[in-house]
Amino acid sequence: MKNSPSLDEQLEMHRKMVVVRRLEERLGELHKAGKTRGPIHRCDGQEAVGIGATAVLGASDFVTSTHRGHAHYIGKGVDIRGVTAEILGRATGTCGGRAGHMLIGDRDKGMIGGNAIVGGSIPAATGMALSIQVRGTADVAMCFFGDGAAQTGICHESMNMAGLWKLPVVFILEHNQFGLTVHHTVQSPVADLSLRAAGYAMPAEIVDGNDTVAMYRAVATAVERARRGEGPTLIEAKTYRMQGFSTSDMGGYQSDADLADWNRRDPIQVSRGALADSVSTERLDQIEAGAVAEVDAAVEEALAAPLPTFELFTRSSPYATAPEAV
Amino acid sequence: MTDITVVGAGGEYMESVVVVSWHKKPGDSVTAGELVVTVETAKAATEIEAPTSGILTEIRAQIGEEVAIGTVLGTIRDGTAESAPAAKANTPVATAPTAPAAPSALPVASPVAASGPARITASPLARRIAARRGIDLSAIAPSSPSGRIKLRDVDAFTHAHPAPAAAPVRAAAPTSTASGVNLTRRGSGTGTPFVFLHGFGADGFSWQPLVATLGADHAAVLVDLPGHGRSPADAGAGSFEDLAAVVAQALAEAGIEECHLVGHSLGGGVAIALAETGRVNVRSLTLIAPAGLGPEIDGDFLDGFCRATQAESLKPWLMRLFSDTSIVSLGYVQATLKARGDDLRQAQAVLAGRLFPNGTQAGEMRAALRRVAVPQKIIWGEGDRIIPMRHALGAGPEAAIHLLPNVGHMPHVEAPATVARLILQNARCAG
Amino acid sequence: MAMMRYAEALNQALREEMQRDPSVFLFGEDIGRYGGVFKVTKGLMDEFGESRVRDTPISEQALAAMAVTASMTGTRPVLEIMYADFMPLVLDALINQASIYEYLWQNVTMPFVLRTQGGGGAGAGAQHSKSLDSLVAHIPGIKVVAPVTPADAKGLLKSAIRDSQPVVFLEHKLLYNLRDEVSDDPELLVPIGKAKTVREGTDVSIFATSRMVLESQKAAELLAQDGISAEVIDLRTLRPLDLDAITASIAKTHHAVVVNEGWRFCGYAAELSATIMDFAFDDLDAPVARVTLPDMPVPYAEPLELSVLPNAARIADAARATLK
Repeated sequence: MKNSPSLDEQLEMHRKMVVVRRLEERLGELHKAGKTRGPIHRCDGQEAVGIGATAVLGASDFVTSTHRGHAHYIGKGVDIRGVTAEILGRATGTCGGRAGHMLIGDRDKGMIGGNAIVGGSIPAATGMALSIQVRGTADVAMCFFGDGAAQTGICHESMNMAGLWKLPVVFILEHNQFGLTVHHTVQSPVADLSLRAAGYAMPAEIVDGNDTVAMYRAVATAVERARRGEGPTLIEAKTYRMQGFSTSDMGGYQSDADLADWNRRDPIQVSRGALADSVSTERLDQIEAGAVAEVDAAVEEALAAPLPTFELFTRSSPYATAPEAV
Repeated sequence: MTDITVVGAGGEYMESVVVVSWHKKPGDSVTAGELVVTVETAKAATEIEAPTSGILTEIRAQIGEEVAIGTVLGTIRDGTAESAPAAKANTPVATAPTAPAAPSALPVASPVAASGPARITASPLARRIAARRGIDLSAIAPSSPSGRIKLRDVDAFTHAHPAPAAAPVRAAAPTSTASGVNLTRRGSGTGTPFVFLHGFGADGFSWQPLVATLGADHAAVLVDLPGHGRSPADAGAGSFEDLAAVVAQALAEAGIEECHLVGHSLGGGVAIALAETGRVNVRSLTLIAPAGLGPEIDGDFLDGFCRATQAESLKPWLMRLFSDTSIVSLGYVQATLKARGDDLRQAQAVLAGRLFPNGTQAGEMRAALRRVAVPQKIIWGEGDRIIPMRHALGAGPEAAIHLLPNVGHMPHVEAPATVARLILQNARCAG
Repeated sequence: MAMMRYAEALNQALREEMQRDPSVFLFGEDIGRYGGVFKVTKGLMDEFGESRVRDTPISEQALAAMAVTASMTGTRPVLEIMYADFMPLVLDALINQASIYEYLWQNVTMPFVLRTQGGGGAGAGAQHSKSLDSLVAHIPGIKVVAPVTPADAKGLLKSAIRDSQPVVFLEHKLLYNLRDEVSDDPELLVPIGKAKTVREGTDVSIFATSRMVLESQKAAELLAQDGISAEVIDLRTLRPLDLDAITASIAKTHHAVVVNEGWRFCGYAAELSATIMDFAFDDLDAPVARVTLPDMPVPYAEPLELSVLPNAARIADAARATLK
């Protein structure tokens, strides 16, 4: 069983994290310039969770995401240009501008998809795992959810059934400490939510969510277990949300000390450190510069792309209330 | 919003009008009672006054357009021109941004607003059908306990007041022949035309409901007999034969050599005379309560009708024409009065004196009718109080006799569909 | 053809579709070993195994959400929600999930069926007797069907399973024992979106759903004794509506009564009424009459429950009132 990333895989994870970080930074600038629409939920500081976990998956595996899913999208292989254009509401976006940054879905890439109902990704992945089990394939469904979503009733319902039926699902609890503005200590009596896995007869592991390699290793074990038909695993990835809940967050509830502490453990810097012995600084700089350029080009392309036009539904559309009523 | 319509008229004398001139333009303020539009009826210009004060927002019937009675000619909106600059633009009401219904009109359950004109409550279907038939809903009484006019009420009204099936009817240019007799052509058909001769005191327009029922596929020629409609007041005629000669001349001048001939009452007698002369090739002959088949006629009616110059004196005599007297609304009486100028009234009195002296039919056409060898139908209302129905028995062995229950002296008005069918049947018999 | 009960017709539809398509599977509470509390899934676990016929925990919210994504990823789940009264628990899955993805993502399909049963008349009380048709019919992208006869139950369920969109399949607890002839042709489908005229008439159109169709047919008999000719139309599909059938009938009768066992305010009957106004306004000779449950809980005791449920007499009264 392979449970460590190759150097190439590690470099690719590094590159993708830089892509995501650059995207978040550019979105922050565009938001300030008034060029974005609605709130944007940045994942600065959490990139290693999504990128490390999805690096384990194959093309036919499924991922369900949250409202903070940019790292999950990029990790599962959704085109950065389509994602950027979608976030900017362009006709060239992954969903033609219909979805926005919280709800991107790309069936062909197995990313289905963003989900902005907190907790919604948990039964979604469980249902996909049920489908996989009924069909008898060796695919897995991966669920990203946060410490806020862990408090929903549907989380319990889903994990109970996943454990009961040994469904091929990997739950990635992206523990970034906050449910919107409320700290996890105010939401849960236990700091380590993975304790709950015992109640579902499901193994659990706490992982440094700012370390891609650690994420990769833990998730690889869980994925292999799922593929063998042994059931679900809960991975609790400890991380921290560096940029507030969304672009509309007024802030004031995160301590400077915490922010500084987590900033010292920035996942991109952690990754650079891990690669330092094997790869030259020049190569890493080159990879990072390429990632930045790719995002910048995607942003410029998206800004120049046409806005979508609304089309009436056809008679056969699911959204046609009645033949002529559209 | 208040509609400007030609109200209260219907039935025999006035089924449509032609817009002659508008005295206001959209955006102008109007005061209740102020002249806004002039329309031409069969023979007279009628001035229509603003039903309410406000702003003329829309002109729907253009000058020269012929529209059915009841058609909305234009609309007046509440307010003044100063306070509503948008209304100055010559835009349809539908696009005006400020046209909220008065709040009092919103609760559907309240049938009458506290002030202003009473709102008519009618079902959507009743409104649609009434508009199609050119019927003014204000003339209809609801039968439902809800107070809402329903289709059955419109149907009942239609039965009593037949109206053109399709409005507005395309305007047909009346033709004044050299003889002075006025002919009005209707329909687009190119086959043998149907020539209609009206009754005493009426005119070509009296055939409107029947012609509408007949359909536009058939060519129809509506004749104004001398002393009637737009024809000269006095042609000096003293008999059915005299009148027939004038009509024959007019038809010849109009190039009509062959026709299916239909005559009502006085026109029936003229039709028999015309058919017998052979000056026009009559293919079929349909007579509706015709004169000339017996001596009796309601002399009181003739006298009263000719004397009447006011609505109050005219109305009782008009009511005698119908089985269903509810047809004779006040508006109908006034329209009849307006349509008959004093010169025509006097000419008709002279004619009545010659044809029906002392309340007796002087002309005897039974023998002539028996000589006319074309398909013949006699149609008579069982409730006829002007000429006795039993005169039909003198028609001779070749005539088919059709007696219509619950119909008076005006079958073509009270039962136009039946009469139209019979006329077409008769025409088909001619091959 | 064979005589069978409504529940048996549904069972046959499920069996035939599971035989035909291995991606069809069933899950829900008590549906497996026990065969469902209304015995609709009787015998299916024995025939198809525990993977394709699953007894589930009491977890309606997750079950419905799982049906959505299972259907997106290669299977055709049929989920049974035991009572329509529990539908509020599954609304997030329908409203925030199933409703949006076909529009947002465009290249996904969601061929799942959510079966449930509602309605009063069985003394089941305020939490087990409701008809919440409007809650589901309100949702764009979801089809809603409500068969009345065993033959329609079978044919529509088969169509629902084969449909590429989510379908909420509304049964009625008082219909399960209704017996009628049902075709044994496994390819005989009843199309979704087509209403059925169950009685022709000329004076008034009665548009009804689910068990109210039976009451409307009885109402038509009562009206016939008064010389009133009522047309009864079983809508069969609540969404998308068969507008042609509705407008054609009103064009003939000019009077409409809509009957639904749900609540009145913002209810399914209200939507029907508004739709009729939208598309047949100029054919109406009277306001549309609504016959519904009053806006209150369904009581338990028999005289109380019978006092609130729409019935033939009330439907006939409404029809007479529109004709006045």
